[in-house]
Amino acid sequence: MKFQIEDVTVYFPYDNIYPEQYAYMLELKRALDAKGHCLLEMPTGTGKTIALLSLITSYVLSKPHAPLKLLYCTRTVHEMEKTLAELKLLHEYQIRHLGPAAKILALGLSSRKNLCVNPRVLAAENRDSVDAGCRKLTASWVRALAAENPSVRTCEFFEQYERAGSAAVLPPGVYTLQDLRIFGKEKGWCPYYLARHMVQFANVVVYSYQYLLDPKVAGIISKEMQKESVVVFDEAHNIDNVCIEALSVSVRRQTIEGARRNLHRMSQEIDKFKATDAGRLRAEYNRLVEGLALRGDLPATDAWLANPALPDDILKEAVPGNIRRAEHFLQVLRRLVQYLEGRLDTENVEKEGPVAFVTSILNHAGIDQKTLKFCFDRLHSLMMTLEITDTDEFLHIQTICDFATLVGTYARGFSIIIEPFDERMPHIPDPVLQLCCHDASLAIRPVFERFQSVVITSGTLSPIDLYPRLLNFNPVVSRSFTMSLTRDCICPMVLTRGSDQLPVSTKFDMRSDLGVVRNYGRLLLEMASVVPDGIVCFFVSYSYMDGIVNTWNETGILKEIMQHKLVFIETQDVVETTLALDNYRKACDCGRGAIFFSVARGKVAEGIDFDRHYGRLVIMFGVPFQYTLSKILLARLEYLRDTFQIKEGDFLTFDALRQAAQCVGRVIRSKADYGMMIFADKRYSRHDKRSKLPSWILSHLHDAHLNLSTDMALHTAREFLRKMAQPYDKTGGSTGRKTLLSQEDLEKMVEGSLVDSLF
Amino acid sequence: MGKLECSGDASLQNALELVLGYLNQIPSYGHREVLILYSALSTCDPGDLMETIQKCKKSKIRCSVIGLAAEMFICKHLSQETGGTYAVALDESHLKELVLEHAPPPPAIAEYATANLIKMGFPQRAAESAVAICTCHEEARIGGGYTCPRCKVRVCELPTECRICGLTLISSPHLARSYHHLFPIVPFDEVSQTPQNVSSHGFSSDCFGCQQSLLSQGNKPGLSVTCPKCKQHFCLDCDIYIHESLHNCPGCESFRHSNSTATRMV
Repeated sequence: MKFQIEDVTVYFPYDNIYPEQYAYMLELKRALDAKGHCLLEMPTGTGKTIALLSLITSYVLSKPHAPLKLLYCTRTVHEMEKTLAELKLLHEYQIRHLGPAAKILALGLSSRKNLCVNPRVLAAENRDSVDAGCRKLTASWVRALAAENPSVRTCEFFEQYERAGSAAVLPPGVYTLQDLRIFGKEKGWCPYYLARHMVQFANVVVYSYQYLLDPKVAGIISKEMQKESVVVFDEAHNIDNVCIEALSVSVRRQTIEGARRNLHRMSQEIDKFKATDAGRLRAEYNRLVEGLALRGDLPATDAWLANPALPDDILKEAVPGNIRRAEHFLQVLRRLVQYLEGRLDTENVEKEGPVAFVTSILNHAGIDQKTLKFCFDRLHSLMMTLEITDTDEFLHIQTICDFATLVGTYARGFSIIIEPFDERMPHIPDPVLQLCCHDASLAIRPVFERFQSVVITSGTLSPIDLYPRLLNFNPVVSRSFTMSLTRDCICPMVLTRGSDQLPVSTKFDMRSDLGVVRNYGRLLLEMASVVPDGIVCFFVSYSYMDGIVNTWNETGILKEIMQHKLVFIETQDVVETTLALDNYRKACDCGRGAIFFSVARGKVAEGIDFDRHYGRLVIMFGVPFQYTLSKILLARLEYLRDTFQIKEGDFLTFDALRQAAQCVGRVIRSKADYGMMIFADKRYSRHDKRSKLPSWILSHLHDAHLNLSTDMALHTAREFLRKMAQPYDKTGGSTGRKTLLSQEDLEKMVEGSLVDSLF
Repeated sequence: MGKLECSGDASLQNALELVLGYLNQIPSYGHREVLILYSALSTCDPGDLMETIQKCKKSKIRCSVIGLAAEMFICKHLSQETGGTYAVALDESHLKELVLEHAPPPPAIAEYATANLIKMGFPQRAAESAVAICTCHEEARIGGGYTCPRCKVRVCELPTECRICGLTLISSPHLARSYHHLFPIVPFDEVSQTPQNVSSHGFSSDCFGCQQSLLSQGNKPGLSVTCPKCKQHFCLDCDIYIHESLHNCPGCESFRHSNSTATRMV
């Protein structure tokens, strides 16, 4: 269908549209008009992605004189593929209506691991070794060597791509990663480098958050993006954590040892070069004297990781004299590693600001701040000179240099925390030195400054006023949409007591109470006997899950549960979890019924959908607060309080509740779906906690369901499941609640400007 | 059923395998249908249930399920695959309603109902005073019962299969009565009441069934319906009569009749 939103003709590939999608587009359009940033919350399963894509592409089509580029950031490769598939559908629809004028180029960009077609490189198991494998075949010196000596191996795909030169372009269209690989294989061109090249010219680019937020990667990939771009962060409820991680470094014993090995090898290489090719080292020295203007003219294949500091904070100066010579630089690094090792050898937890830390480095190791700052660039230049291709081996020294550069660059918003052991396992010494970023706004600031519009959207952004403060920006639009439903297909409940009327909670002083553990067990058992197919349970942490499942096993509750349903558990091992998930789905499919035990903040809670019969009920055992004794968290809370005036309690509750909402939101993936959500903790009944849940859950949380005991919840569940099993009218026409709008409905609505009255 | 007791885990697969064994003997022109009342929320099966469902689908067994507690995916899948219905009872009266919905036989599916000839006997009712040994009870009976036209044996009730010669015994009203369940008349469409419609289509303003005028007082067109197949118009009374008692559309029947005479004339 196609319709007008103010002056834009929107092409929407489906015959009907949800009213909230229309409202969403309207707000988005206004934000684009204002050339500002916006924050939009809309529940999952309402077609956020297609609404975004169809509005933005239509907006671009209607304003051909000012071409906008769309940068769409997703969290996972899977989501990337889904987005591109939707875009493909939309694109076909637009071409059908507008002819070839609507042609665009859209593609996904991912790591070499996902795009490479060279079987020899792909054989490596992890991402870093694929990258190194690629570099071994395509680095400029390897290729130069191969030109003289045909026995040196190169990558035939990359060679052909290079030979094609400027002829190597993608014709317009929408390319998923799969399409890119196929296209690359057909033409014999390297899909990875082709995609990286085409990103500059594409109208729509779909890639991962890191390509924009992590300065190490963004410096290479996203440097040339035009200012007139719309940046979309989808599923962005954890965006502050991504930003923080992008600027945080941790150093362990292994890192130190690895760095030592790297340094040893580098000094050997230097000696070798000195003997054979001293001119090269001299040339490097000269280049460094002239200044470090080497980044721009590097061949694409040689670029490794960019500077970990943000572009504005990088000094445009020549490298200081004391590290220009390779041997001297290695000496500096050796001293630094020595110093860090000494710091790791501590008995108690230490916390320091970057300034104090830098001073202490100066005093003990004699390295000043400026030298630290240049560590990264100097290392990079050295690796280039030494022609090192197996970059995966050199990650350790790389980490050390990242650390040095960051600590030398930033004086605020960071702290250095040294912990001699993991607090939960105090007997195992595992010292770790962490440079933690506390300020999420640092990493995202360049994005806000550079691009015209940034859209942050997710199913759970409540409370919506906190994100602008955390990320330090001013949105022109920030709105939260509810879901229009034909029937009440979600049933959230707050369970505060067990059948014996004793309160349940995972509060620290109560969580190991046998009564609470038993009540939680009974709750699950009783629910397993009335809920069909799949049940998902979320616990607050792995250790808590282990503990409670153990106790259930000892008291025999687990065995009783197993009579009703099979039990599967998420572990920290990805392969094991995937297997468990597969079998869980199988058990749900064949009618045996299954329960999946998972952990809030885990992989499953973030990326796996439990839609339809895979999740008829989700139980959130406890409030998933972060580990509040963690030194990193405490430091961050302190920083937030001092800088943004966000109270510790507020932030903790906000963070816990968004995780809880994210967990329970896994069960509803479309409007035809239905599911129950049980928040099993007495603390959820308090207003300050509950009110931070997203509005689409709150609007279905009736007052009668706020303070339930197990038997009452059971009764509600039975009723709800019976009601949901009845056939219903999908359009909701008879009940007067329109949830599917056709083109005529929309036109009528616009005329009467019913939009505002609907919401 | 009163004697049966339940214990252990429910198994949909075992039940379906049993059904398959029973119903596979039903000849191809018969209906194979099973209604499952299911109160469990899971099924504990010895093998792959999906295979069994495919087998049921292949042997054209229509599986309907009435659930007593909540919607189960596998039941829904089973009924969708085999063309049955799935419902969950809200309470006792709703359960009764749902079960009774299954009492009238479902319409025949055109692709399954391949025409083939079946040998049938139409026995005559025996004379009131005749004494004969009936095959069903194996005792002498006076009067009542029917005589098989082929082997002259006495049976008590119709329809049945003759125990001696295996002939299907049936009376013609049985055939007639069951026929309309298999091929129900499609519901008629309501005619939109615009005067232009009347003139442009050029149809008679009379009901095709009762020949009464369809025009209400003041020459305005009244409520009328039309058969989607033969496009004839009917009044509401005839509509009810046709669907509830007659089970034949006069329009379609006469159309078919005149069609066949026309071909004969050519």
